[in-house]
Amino acid sequence: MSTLTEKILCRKSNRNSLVPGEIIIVDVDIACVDAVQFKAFYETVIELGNKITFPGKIIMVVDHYLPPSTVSQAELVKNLKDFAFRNNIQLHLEGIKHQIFVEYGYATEGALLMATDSHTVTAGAIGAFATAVGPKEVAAILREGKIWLRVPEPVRISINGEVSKGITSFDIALHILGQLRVNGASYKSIELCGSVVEKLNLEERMVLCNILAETGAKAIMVYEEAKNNPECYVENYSFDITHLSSQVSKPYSPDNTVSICDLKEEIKIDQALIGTCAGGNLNDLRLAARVLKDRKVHPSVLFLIIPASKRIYYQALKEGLFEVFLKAGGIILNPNCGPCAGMHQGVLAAGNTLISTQNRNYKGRTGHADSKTYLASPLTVAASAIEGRIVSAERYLQ
Amino acid sequence: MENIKGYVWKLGDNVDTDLIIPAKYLAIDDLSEMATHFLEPIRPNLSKKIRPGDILVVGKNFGIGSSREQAVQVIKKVGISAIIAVSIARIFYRNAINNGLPVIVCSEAAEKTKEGDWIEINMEEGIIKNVTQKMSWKFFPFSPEILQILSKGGLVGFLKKYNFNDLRHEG
Repeated sequence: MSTLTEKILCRKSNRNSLVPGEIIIVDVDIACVDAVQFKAFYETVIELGNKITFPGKIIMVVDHYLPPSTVSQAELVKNLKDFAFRNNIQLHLEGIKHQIFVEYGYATEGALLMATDSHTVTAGAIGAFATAVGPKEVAAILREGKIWLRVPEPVRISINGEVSKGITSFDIALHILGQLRVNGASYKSIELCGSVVEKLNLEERMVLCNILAETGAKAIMVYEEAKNNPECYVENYSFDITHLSSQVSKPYSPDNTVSICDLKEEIKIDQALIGTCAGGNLNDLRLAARVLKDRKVHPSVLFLIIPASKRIYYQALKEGLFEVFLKAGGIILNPNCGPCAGMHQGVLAAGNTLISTQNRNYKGRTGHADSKTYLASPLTVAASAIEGRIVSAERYLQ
Repeated sequence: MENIKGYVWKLGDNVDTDLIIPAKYLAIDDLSEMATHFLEPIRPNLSKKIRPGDILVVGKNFGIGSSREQAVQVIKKVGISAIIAVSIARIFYRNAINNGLPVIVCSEAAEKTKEGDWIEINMEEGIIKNVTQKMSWKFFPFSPEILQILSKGGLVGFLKKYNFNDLRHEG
């Protein structure tokens, strides 16, 4: 009996057993660098002798700067593209890396995947040990095929109960994050199981893993068998989400979670976003469209929809979701990270209040330090966009 | 590894990477220019006051949020030689080690040390001495592999001389 963490890391380090805390050297399956981190990656490749030993293990992605909005961003994108072409490295210019990892099969059950992105844990939804690393390390992996890793303590989260109408994996994730707190599982490897998890589809699992990244966990994986061996885990958390109602996270921390029905005062919003790696999946767009069909958003609200990948964008188009969003008054943008990190495409001024399906709302992240961002599910964001204030989607789901 | 000595700058809890270096500055090519925006949302002029060799002492959850390596690069660029924290986010810690920036978890030292104190850190023995307040504390020593990487100035320095098979294993 062992944890998924131990199974994968043993295989990748060629060891029979491992002790949490020890440093091991692992064979990496896939490592990804993006344009934001390209400079440090490239400088390191040169300093390490420009040895392109394992190009097949590397993928390069543009997602934060897709397409570039400034000359500086464009230079990074150009240099990244040139490097990929020169060295025969797989390049993706079509959406957010976390969706691409799963869509293209880079992330598979049992794989060890690394990327220069804190939400790399999202790929754990498919059972990959997926973790964030720095750009220097991707350069090291290009040369060595391996990297050092500290073995994490495994933690189990079991999620059970009946999912009420209108409650999504986003609400469940926010609730758990509110309990574990930001950095509350730092260095740990979280393994998810339970009757609720078993019923979630892949995209819903991705949302769960993605938002729980804020706990600081090294990896977050769905592992249904974990329900049978609690003794293998350093900590066991159990959540029954039967009575969970729609959640929202208030500024300025993703763990500042509260039930919408417990909000003490009306919160007006003037911007709404359905998108990002946490809320731009096809499932998320479908949920939003359910609420927005034949309705219009509040005239004071700037409403953005950003499908997370080209595949999702195209499928949403074919299903008629875009017609729903456009008729409702939404602005549909190309697949990319959008305004979440304050780069472009809907950043905020002082005094703006955004409700978004993104995963972070730190001060000054999405724009001016005096803007506010609330995190919520696609259903909640859609309903709030209609009313110009934060409400759950209950009345829109009859 | 040599001892590290310096004058302290102090920050509180939950200093996340969006505060350390807001994302809109990440594409700036010149690191010196990027570093002028260090901590801009909360202490915008701090980058001008820090002198090379100074030490950053912080609360819990330092460096949470994004994995941006620029957060470490900017802190090194303004002159910080080491960080002492109550607790640190995992990716920030990893980026710091790989960039040769010592990060030490020692909650008592972090809580009791004040801005302006002079401290000395013995990396090999795991001791922090607050010379100003005449106090000292032990911290959990680095694992030999981490110390190897740090003592070579980071991952690049290490890999220029060695490869990963040379990293010593504990036990």
